[in-house]
Amino acid sequence: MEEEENKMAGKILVLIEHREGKVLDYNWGNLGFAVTLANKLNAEVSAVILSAVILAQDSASLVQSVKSKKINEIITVHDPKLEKYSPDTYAYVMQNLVSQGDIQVVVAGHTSIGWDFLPKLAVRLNVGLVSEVNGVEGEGENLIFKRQVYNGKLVEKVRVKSKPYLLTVERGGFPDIEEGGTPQVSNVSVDLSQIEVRTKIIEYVKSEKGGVDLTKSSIIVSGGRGLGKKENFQIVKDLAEALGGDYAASRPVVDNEWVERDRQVGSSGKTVKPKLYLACGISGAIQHLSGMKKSDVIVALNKDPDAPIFGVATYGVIGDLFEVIPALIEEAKKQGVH
Amino acid sequence: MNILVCVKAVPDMESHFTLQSDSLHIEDSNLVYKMNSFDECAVEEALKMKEKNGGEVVIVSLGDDKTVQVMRKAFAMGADRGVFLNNASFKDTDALTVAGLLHKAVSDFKPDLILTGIQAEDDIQAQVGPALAELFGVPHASVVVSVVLSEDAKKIKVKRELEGGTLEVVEMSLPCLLTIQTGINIPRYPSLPGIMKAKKKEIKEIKLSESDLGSSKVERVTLLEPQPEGKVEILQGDAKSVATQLISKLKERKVFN
Repeated sequence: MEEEENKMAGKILVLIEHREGKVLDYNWGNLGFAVTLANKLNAEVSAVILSAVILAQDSASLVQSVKSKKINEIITVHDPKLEKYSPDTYAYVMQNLVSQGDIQVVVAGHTSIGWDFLPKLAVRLNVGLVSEVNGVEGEGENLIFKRQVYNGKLVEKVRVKSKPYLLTVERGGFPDIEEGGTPQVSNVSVDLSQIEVRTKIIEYVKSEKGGVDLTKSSIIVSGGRGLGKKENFQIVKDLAEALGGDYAASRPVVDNEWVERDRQVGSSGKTVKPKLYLACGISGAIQHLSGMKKSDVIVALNKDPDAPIFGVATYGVIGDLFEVIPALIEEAKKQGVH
Repeated sequence: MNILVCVKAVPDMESHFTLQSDSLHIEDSNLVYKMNSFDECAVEEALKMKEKNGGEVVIVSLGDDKTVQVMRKAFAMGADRGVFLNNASFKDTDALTVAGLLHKAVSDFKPDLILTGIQAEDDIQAQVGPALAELFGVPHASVVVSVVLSEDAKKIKVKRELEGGTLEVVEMSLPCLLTIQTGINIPRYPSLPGIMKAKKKEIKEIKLSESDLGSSKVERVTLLEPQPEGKVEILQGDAKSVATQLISKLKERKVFN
C-alpha cells in the first residue's frame, strides 16, 4: 500500500535553454517552478539538454552546470543537428521524448526559444499550451495556472483540458532551483536523420553599442509612451541630469526612435538594478518590469492609476508628467541632491 | 509576392478595464478598439515588400464587429483584400484553435510569406504565429526586427531578437512565416485617398458557428485585478508638494550618496 502511495506519477520535462555553450540564467527559475509543480503532481523533474556531439566538451559543461541542482534526472540528447537551436529539431526531439514515457508536463521559458517551438509542439500533440505562467494553484488533476493579460492590468487563471500540459514560464516569475541534488544523467538517442533544419542560424550579433552602460548606473530616469512625442523626452533627460543619473526608455519610445536603442530597459533590452529607478509615463508591461523590478527604490509617475508599474513601485505619483517633472527638477536643484 | 497578414482588434491598453459580472470577460462597451500594435508593424512590413516586389497583401482576422474597422485601416494603409472570421464568442477560444480557424479560412491561398505580430496586446500569448507555421507546413522565425529578401525572392534573411539585446541572424526559404516585433518599422498613417479606396476593398466574411469554434483545450476560469503587493506609497498633493516630499524621501533613503 505504502509503495503505491509513494509512486511517482510521471515526469516533468524542463528544456534547458543554452546558447554558445552557456546555460541561460532564467533556466534556474524554470526549474524552480518545475519543482513546485512536481510537488503538486507527485512527479519527477527531468532537465533536458539538447546539444551537438561535436561539442562534447561544451555539452559536458552544460550538464555540469545543471548537475548540482535539486532535480531527479538529466536527459541528454546529442546530434550534430542540435548544435544550434531550431524549432524543427527542438519540436521533434521533445515530441519524441513525450512519446517515450509518462510525461505530465513540458516546461520551457517564455523566451525566444520556448515561445518559438512550443506552439509547434502543441499543434503536433494536439494539446493546449499556457504562455508566460507566473503562478500555479491546486493539486493533482485540478491545477490552475496564473498569467497576466491586458498588458499586465489584469490576471487570468486558466485550466488545461489536455495532457501533457505545455507551459512557458514568465522570466523571473519563480525563485531559482535549490542546489544540493544528485540527478542521474541518462543519454537518450533520437534519430534526426529525416529531419530537415529549415532555419539556418548564421550568426549572433549584439545590438549596436552606445556610449552608456546602464547596468552600471546607480540612478536611472526612464521615459515611456506617456511622454507623447519625441520633443517631450527632453524633460526626462533634464531630470536625469538634475538627479545626477542616466536616462533610459521603455520599448515604445525606442521603437519610435525618440531615443537610441542602447537606452532600452526590459527583457529585450537591458536588465538594470540601480539604487533609484524613476519611471515617467511608463505603464509597466511585463517585458519592461522584468528589466527593472529589482531596483532598490522605484518611483512611478503616471497619470493612469491602473498602470501596472505602480505594482512594483516604492513611491507613486498619479499626475501630469509635465507638471511633476519640472517641479522635481526645481526641487532637486533646491535641495542640492548632488 | 503574395503576403498574408494576420491582424487582431484589441482595446487601447491605456483604458481602465472593468470586469463583467461573470468575471470571465472585460466590460468592453465603452472601450476604444484599435489594431494590435505588433500587427500594425506586420502590415507595414508586408506593404514595404509589396511595393518592392509586387503581389497582393491579404488580411485575415478573427473577431467580432470591431474587427471590420481594423481591417479597413489595413486597407487604408494599402492592403488589398481581407478575410473576416466573424464570431462574437471568439474571446473564449484558445490560441491553437484560433490558428486552426485562420489556417482553414485561407487554405486556398498560397502565400509566399505569412506575417503576424509577435503577440496580441490583450492576451499576450505569442502562440498563433508559430502554430500557424506548423499548420501551413512552413518554417518560421519569431520576434523579427529586420527582413532582407534575396534577389531571386526565394530566400529570406531575418534578424530575430533574443534576450538581453542579442540578435540572431537566421536564413530560410520561402514560403515561411515571421512574427513581427515593434520597432522593425514605423507604420504609415493611412492617406486620404487610401481611406477612400479602403471602403471599396473586398472583405470576405465567414460567419462561424459555435460548433466551428469547437472546444478549446485551455479554458479561462476567472479574470481578476492583480493583488496589489501593498508596498507602494502614493504621494498626495500638487506637483510642487509631491516633488518636495519625493526628493526628501529619496534623500532619506540615501539614493543620491
